[in-house]
Amino acid sequence: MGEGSTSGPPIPAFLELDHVFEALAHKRRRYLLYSLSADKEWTLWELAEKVAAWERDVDETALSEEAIERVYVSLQHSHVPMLVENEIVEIEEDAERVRPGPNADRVLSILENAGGSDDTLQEAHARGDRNAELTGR
Amino acid sequence: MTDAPHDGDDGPRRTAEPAIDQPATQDGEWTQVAQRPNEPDEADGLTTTIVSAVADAEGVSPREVKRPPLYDVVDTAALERAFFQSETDTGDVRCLTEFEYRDYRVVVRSDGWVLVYERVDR
Repeated sequence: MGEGSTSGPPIPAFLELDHVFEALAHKRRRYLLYSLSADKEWTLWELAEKVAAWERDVDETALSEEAIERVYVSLQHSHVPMLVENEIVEIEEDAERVRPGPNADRVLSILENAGGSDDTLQEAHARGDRNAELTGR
Repeated sequence: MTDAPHDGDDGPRRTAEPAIDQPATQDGEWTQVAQRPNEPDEADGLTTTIVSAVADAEGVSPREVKRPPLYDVVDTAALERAFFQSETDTGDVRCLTEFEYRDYRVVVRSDGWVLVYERVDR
């Protein structure tokens, strides 16, 4: 604790369940959460590629730039700001890097108990690329 | 950029051309500079449509429209639910939301059109 806080209204130290469930109530946000880990910072564009590849069920190399851009815009203008506001993710503005925030673990642990076969597949997809990254794809 | 026809009795069909020359708020003269139809079947379609329409007005690609995040200006999720996902048949009802974003006046209509206006300097 003790990290400098961003400007804005005071953020509750404990994320209330209403906010947790609101954060979880969108597939793209859940996919973002599954992608995040302590070891890697993703850029917004990289995350958009991953989400777009998952949603279209294709390899990232098969995506058009326009398709990625549409997801990128929705992350930048809708989902990431919401997750930042709830301290579930943090973003470094200029580099557009996204990393887990203080409330990420709590939200992820609630997700684990929620279940859902579609989310299990989504989680595997989100984390699979990270493993490939570590083994030097 | 097409000329907007005068408002008539066109139904709220998505394929109808936008028919509003001026935004609703009467605080000066505005000219329409961009328009896009919403994509209701796409996830976050309205957010992307609004940003893309503003990008059209600015002559840049949507990814270059960054500040402020639309999230800070308008609740697009609520608009999507109210305008495009309501179970009530809104065929005879017209809703309209208007806000300012990056010096533009943006109008979101329940018939699916997003219109962008620029202030006319005098």
